[in-house]
Amino acid sequence: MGNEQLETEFGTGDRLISQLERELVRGKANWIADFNESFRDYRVNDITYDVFMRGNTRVKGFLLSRLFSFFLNPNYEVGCYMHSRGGAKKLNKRDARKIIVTTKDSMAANNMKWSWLFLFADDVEEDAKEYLKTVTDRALAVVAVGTETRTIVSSGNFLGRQARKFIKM
Amino acid sequence: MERVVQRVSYTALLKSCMIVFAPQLIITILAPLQFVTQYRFLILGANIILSGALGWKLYKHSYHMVFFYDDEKFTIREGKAEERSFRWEDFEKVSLARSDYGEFMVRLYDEDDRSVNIPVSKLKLDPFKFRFEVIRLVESRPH
Repeated sequence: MGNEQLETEFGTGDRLISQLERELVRGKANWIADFNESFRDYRVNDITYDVFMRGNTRVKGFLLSRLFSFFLNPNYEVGCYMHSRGGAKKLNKRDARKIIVTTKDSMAANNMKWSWLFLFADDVEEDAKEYLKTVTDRALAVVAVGTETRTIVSSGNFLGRQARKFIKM
Repeated sequence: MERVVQRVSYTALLKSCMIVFAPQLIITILAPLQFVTQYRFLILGANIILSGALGWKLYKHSYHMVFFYDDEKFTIREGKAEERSFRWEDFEKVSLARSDYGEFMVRLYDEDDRSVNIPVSKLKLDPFKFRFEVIRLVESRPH
């Protein structure tokens, strides 16, 4: 469960997760979505996400920006899931698929239009890399990060290519 | 051991002083020009002193935030409004939320998904660290 260890540099994955959470909740992705709430150790079925963030696509700003956004931007619910648990040092295709299916279930339950899913492990296996590149679902962007090998693999859709820009190692 | 958190919110204090200053400014503008010109520095000084004094009173009465907490419960009081007290064990989930104006709060949810906000930005607490402390306090209580 969340504790102060996660705030210190317990590991590269935890550091990346904390850094990503801070950036997103502070509005770093405002150009695409406003993630304004973050949960730690969010459980869905038998998967526990390190971080689950939710937000919407109606960007906030000063008066004119708000008016513009209110009349022109759709107000979709969106999410961001971050997973590094399970103890596996390597992310394989089977685990990736299971997490993706669970994420889609959670998205449906929360009426989310689209979501980002970040998967962190020491390394990403080849079968997982190939599998992720075939994920073209427009509603879910998946980014897998190998923290020891400094590998970043994203799903083959627009959201995936945008999401990987937030990973800085 | 009960901990107390209270910090002066300079934004709210400035707002309170402006609320007091604005009517004085309007009166000064509407007053005869000859009178105002003759005593302009005296009027300005009096306005500033009065705005500071009454603004501070207004701030303490309406905006000053005080937060008490220990291992069992927490209490929030804003100005002279009634205190709201809760027990950590009544909540199940904790989140870190940000308002439309960029202020952070730690939000606690009970089993019926009703929520209570702790305004960490107004209390000038580190939102990320305090969120973890609240998670620890909620989890340490029996549910």
